[in-house]
Amino acid sequence: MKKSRFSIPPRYLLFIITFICIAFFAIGFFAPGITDKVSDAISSVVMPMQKGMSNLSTSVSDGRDNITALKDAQAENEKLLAENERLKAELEKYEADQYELAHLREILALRDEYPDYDIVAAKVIQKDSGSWFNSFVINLGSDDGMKVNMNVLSGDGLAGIITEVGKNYSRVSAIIDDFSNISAMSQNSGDYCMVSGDLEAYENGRIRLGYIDKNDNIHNGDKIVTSNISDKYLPGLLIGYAEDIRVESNNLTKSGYIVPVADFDKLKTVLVIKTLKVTGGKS
Amino acid sequence: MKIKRILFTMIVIIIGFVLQNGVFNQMTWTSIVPNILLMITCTFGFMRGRQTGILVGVVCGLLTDISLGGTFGINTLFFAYLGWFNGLFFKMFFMDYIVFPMLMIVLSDVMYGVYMYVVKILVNGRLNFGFYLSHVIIPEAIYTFAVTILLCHIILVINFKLEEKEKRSAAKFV
Repeated sequence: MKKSRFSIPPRYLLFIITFICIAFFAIGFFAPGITDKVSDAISSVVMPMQKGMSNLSTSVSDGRDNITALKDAQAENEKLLAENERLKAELEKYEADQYELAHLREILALRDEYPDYDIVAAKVIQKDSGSWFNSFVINLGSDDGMKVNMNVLSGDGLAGIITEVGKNYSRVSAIIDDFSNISAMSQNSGDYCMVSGDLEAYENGRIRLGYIDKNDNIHNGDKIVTSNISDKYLPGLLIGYAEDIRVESNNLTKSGYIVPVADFDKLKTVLVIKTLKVTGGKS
Repeated sequence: MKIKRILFTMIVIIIGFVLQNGVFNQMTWTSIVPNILLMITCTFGFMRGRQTGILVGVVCGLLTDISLGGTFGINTLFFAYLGWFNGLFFKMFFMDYIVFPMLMIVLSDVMYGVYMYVVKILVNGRLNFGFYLSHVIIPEAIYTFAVTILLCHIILVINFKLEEKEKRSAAKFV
């Protein structure tokens, strides 16, 4: 009697959900605008939560650091313990400041390197929460003028590209992601090649480099930058250094690996280039 | 009593989401994250039956979709089916037999891994399933298993207490 209010048979419930999801995929395929709005509406509710979580996890890791600091202090004289801890806390704060200073200086240097572009700094508020993707979320969204396909740099070079923009967040797909393909070239010779992310290669800290003509002049250690014919990436952004270039078994092309300059395990602050690549149609 | 149960479910899901997004993915020594939301879906599936399993699966799937990005609804669909699948074993579940839920959760996680490989990686033309199996699917299942030992038991115990209370208050009215 009590159950009568909610008793849809599970079979039908499952059927309804399947139908909704597939309808959603279909709409997303034929008219992406509508589904984007729906997912954006849901995300904008949850994203502030993400920010809070990010703060929470920072405090958790801070707590972890404090415990190790305490253990060191205990080995010392007990009388000095209180004094010691105070100094340590102070030192930690300075170290954090120092780290931030060094980081910001690095970013500033990078900003000078690409002076023509309109660059803003953004904070990474969430790393990928699953095991399958290499993307992260930054704290700027459409309110801050973010747009899809804006290039994202980390301290040293290209980190990724914006694939999804919400009101107060944007998702950045990293160049090591399985889906990432970048048209690139060697800075020395100007020969074109293709950089594609690969989870398997990234296990060894590398990403794939392919589609090089056999006669092209790309060697190990060459600087690989984004090419001028790419339709999404601005030309001349440093990706990494070529490694292990070999002629493939078809004897027509060469392929190898790139060691990316960006450090994807320690992303905290990134730079977004607000200048979009201009390609033919719209500007 | 129903409100209490819904509240309990919501709190569990939110805590799971926070744990997955705020704590476990910050551990930098590995890129593998235990799938806590999947664990919650499975637990509620075999603990409360198909209907609850499906509903919890939809909520958990939506949250996963939000945090992963990409095509919206892919996880929602699969989580709903996982909830239903685990709900099928509702009658086989007994409180003091802990091996069964563990087995179900690991099996579900592996199924989810294969599903993700097919819809996300295989369609992208990467055929080396062996690598993804050994580097993503199996480690994720092991991590989820490890976390399950801790969390699943807590959920089960609280649920057991709630059920006891419901039975008692029902008996009072008779």
